[in-house]
Amino acid sequence: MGALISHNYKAYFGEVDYTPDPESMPSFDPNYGFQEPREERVMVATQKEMADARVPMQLRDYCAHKYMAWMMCRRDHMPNLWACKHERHEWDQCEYDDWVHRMKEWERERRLLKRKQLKKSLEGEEE
Amino acid sequence: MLELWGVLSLTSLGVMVIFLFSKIKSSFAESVKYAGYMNAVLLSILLMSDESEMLFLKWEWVKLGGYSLMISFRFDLYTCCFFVVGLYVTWNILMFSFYYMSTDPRIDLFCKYLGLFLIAMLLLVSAESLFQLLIGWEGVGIMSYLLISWWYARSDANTAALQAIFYNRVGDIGLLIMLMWSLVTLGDWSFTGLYALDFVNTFFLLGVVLAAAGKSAQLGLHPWLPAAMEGPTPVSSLLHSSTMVVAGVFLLIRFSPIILNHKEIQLMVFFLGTMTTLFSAICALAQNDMKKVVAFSTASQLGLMVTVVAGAGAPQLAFLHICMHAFFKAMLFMCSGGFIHGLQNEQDVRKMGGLHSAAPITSVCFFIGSAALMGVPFLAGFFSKDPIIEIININNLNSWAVGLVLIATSFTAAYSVRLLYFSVGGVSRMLVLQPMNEEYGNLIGPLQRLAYSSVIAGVVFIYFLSPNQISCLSLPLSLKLAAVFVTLVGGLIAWDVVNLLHREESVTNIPELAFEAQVGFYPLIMHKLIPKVWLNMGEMYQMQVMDRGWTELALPQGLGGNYKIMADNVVNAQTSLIKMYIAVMVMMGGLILGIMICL
Amino acid sequence: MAAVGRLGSAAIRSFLWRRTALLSSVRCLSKDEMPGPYPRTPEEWAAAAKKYGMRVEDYQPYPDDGTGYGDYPMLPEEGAESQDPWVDWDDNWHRRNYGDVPHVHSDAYTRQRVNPSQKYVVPWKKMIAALVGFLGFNGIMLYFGEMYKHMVPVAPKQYPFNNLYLEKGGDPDKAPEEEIKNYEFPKS
Repeated sequence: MGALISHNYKAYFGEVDYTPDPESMPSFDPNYGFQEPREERVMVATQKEMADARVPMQLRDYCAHKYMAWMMCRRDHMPNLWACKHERHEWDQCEYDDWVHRMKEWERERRLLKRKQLKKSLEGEEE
Repeated sequence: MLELWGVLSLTSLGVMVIFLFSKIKSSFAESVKYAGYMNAVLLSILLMSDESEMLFLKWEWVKLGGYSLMISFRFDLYTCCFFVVGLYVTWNILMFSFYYMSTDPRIDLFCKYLGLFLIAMLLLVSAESLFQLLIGWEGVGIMSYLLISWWYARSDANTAALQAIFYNRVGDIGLLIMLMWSLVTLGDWSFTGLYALDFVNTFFLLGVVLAAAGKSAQLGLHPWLPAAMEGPTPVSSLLHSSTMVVAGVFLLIRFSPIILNHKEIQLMVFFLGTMTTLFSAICALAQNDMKKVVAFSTASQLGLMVTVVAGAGAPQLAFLHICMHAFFKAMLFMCSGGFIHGLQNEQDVRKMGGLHSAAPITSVCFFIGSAALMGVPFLAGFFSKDPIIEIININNLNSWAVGLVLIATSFTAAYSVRLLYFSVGGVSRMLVLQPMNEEYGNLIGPLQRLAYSSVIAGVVFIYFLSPNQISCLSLPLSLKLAAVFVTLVGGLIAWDVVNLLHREESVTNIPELAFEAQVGFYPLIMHKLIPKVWLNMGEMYQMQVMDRGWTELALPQGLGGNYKIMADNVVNAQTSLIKMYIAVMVMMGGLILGIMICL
Repeated sequence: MAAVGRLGSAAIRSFLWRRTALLSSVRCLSKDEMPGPYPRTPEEWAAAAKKYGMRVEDYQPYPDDGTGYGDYPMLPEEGAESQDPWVDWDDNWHRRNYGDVPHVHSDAYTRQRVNPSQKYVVPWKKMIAALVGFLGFNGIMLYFGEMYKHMVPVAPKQYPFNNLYLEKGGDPDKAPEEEIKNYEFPKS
């Protein structure tokens, strides 16, 4: 909680100038600053698969295939759900990685905004 | 195969209904129990299958032009879980009421009322169309009225029952708005149809919010819930903690896909929920009536459920909290019922204390229930409350609302610890020679069953429910422990304050406590202000201007007088003088002639 | 609305029975028991006060705006509930003495019904201030909280297929303006 409070403080008081706005988040070119173009995120499950499996809307993300695998395992081993802890862990790990990805995106945006700020101030000094 | 299981479930419920008319009251409790078992089997079958929902019966009742009213039952995950929870809790409460109401001459009727309520509630949760929902909704409303005013000779109970039904009527306006709008605009009442149409309408959603606020005692329409504690304790336990009051949240859950598409309504429900949870928690802090504390904590938890339905957009968590809450809150009420019964109807916590030696099993159950309510790890409440706090913490939500939810959570611990300290712990302050005894099978049995379920229900439900939203996996440790932390803080503060206030040398009457003790002055102000405004308007416009003004002048009362004046004039003209008649004739002829000339 | 009432009252007074608006509910009363017209002159005023057994200084009829009660005195709103129960009243149940002028709404202020002069532990204004203050403070703070949202340092969740354009009910015939693509970070 302390981390969030300090983050909130930074977002509204300490680092207002270069805190990203989550509403308009990727404001920079995705490849800006990278040596070689980034790879696109791979979506394994297709739209039809997800629709057939009736995956909840919030879970139709890049981990949907693991979720579907887990659900299939649950269905096959229904009374004994411990049998699916491997699949459950796979899905959890994928969601965790997705969360880390989101954090990375945020940090990239923040650093780029800060850099932009710095550049602007340097230009102002030169003039 | 699945249909067969569904038919079996409905049959068991039908048998339960038949047993409602049996002369032996315990056979009805048995039938509720076996119906519960049967439906637990149905739930597991449903979970094993690939189906996420089933519709039964599909009987066309009324056909009006292009519209047909179908009667069918919707068996999805929510319905099945609620069937099991509701039947289990009802069975235990029926057994408990055999103990609690054993001296009541009309106990058979009481059990029948509870059974009728149960049927209405099951109709409500298994409803497939808004019309069936209305039947169940009004059914639980009227049973609530009858059961609160069970001791009808007490004017308090009558007042409370009237309050309950009036506040519920305000909420029912919302339900009627929903019904009318959907019939006129969409021509469809079935949930399947409403989901498929994927509409977003402010009017309809305001109806949903109003209905839910009325039934679930959200801020503004909440005073009936603490007042309803005038009813017998089994009623408070069944209706006003575990089943009936969650009907509003259930409605919100049913319509959550539509609500989440409308930003303003979503925000409104979120604020309503957070304010309710804080306000009720504050009110619970300074109550001295044992049942009222539990009632306000119920209202607070209902606010938390509403918050998480709309704010975080996780209806499944709200439903999980409904189920967990049903177990431990029903048990808390039953424990307080046991205490109250043992102390000869003494509800004031200041006259309790030291009950851990007088009633050890009840005290232990009370402790487990309070701990589960606080969200102590690995009890039932933890598995629903902790994800709720987490999911509120990791979304970009209104910061003040997030703070309010955390404060209310810490208050939950505060009033629970206070209640425990006063009733179970400490020194005995009760009158001497109280025949405190808990050696009744019908008290201990239900309490123990619900205590076991309060411990393991969380694990079982988490085990079986497949998640509908992403669980929070990568929180910082401090945030992960936030729920536990605020609970701990609340408990410690309560301990400190209780020690501060209730020593002999301390000042016990702090004027600032009046706001909490008088439940925020809300019922006082609202129950005086609004009737007074209407009364004055009625006196002014209806009584003085209409009844004693224009009605006297021109309308029925005035007609007599006016005709009397006219008749007097006519009588005065009847003088029997021929000259007079001729004069009148000439005048009239002249008048007619003049008019004709003018035209 | 008062104007309409005044018109009706004036009409009644001028060309009907020359009585005030107090008519229908006391139709059974005799003419002497009815309240008289609104006192205009000081003499009428004094006579009315004497009729009701009051001092002239205390006597104050309802304002004659068409919805008044003639010369009936405007008494303080006191419910029977808040009268002293230990006084030796002539009528112990209604807590009033013989000859007391009842309030014009005294039928509503009996002991089973409302009590307008209820004494509260906390003064009325303080109570309203506390409730309105609580709700208003929270309302204002919720408004500010909406401006300063709780900020979690993560980007919004990325979804495939144009941010689930079709799944969220997008028009399949009309493609979205720009295709949203999400990229991995290079593995280090």
